[in-house]
Amino acid sequence: MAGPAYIADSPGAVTKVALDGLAVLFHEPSGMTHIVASPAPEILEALQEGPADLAEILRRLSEVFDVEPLPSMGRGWGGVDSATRSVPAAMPPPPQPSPIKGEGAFAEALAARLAELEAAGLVRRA
Amino acid sequence: MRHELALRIGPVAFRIGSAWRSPLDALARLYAGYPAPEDGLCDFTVRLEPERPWRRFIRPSVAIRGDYILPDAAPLSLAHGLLAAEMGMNLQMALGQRTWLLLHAATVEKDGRAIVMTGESGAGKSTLAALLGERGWRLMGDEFALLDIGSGALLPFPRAISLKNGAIGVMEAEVEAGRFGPRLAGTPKGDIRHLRPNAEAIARMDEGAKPALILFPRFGEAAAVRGVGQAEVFMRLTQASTNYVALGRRGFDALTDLVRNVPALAIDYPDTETAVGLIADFRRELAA
Repeated sequence: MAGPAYIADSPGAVTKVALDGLAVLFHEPSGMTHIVASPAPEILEALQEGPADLAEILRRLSEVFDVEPLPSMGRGWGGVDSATRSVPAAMPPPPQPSPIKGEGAFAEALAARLAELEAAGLVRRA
Repeated sequence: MRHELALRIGPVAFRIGSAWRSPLDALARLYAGYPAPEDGLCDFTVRLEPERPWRRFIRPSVAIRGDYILPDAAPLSLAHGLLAAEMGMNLQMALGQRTWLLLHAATVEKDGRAIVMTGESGAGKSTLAALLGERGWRLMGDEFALLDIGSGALLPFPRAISLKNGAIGVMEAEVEAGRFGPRLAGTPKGDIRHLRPNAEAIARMDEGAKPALILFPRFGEAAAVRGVGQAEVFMRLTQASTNYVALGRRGFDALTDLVRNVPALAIDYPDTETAVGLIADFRRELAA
């Protein structure tokens, strides 16, 4: 699969604290805080091995996770940024597992999550 | 400035300067019994100045100035000069404070355990804190909770309590008249009357406490209690903090520690007496 390669900051640049199944991330270079849900932390972890395109990220994730049952994160959960006060006053209900099946659909969901992480400044094009 | 007043509230020393005498006289009466800054040095300066030089005398209009200013802060009439001084002190803290993580929250303490109450304006946290402060709790502050970044303790900041509209009558029934400031009618926030915290709150203003419970009170609903997940607490507290972003990593560490170590509840309450009862129940559970 051809496509852009992504890169993430080194682990020292991001502090992660798990809170109730979500993760709050402090991104040192920007000073911004993000609240993210799975699989965003896993994608960031997968990118610690080095730059990777979508197919390679998928391969790395599938080494650790069973791709099929991994739920989609749902739109709007990629890089919720409390620092810019865009966080809603109350938490929306947890996203439901996506009905999409199979690796192709998962790759599509993964691309959407990557786009969200890129918009949040947590990953960038290599 | 023509007229000046310096006073210390908890760990923060203010100097308030004014082009007019009356707001400072009102402030000095309200803060009777508060200490002066120990070394004469002040952390923040608030200046109450005429909006235009000639308006010191003609329809005087008070502009709030200081080290930190909001460009669009609207001037107030001189009759509301006390409110201007209070707003100026709040503003300096909100914009300039870098030593502690500041949460827009009221705090009360009993047996060394502090309850932090935060919520939107109108959630009733000031009224609740004021009432609890007269019912066996120590009022630590009604506006700002100061979280010490190193120790995780809360420091008192017992400013005069800003009572609005319906809350004024609730507290007038509870507290002797001498502790109230003048009733300020028709301010941008409605009617306001300030209340000086009681002698215990002032005497113990240097004594911190460990946070034991975070409460999100909401006034005007049938009584209900629900737990709040840590991620939601974190998000709400970043919104309630005026200096979280400015503190960077230190703020993140302090807030995540607080959220992981302190339970949180949201309560709905139809009247303050119900809330006081609920909070007494929580205290018994915390002590058990």
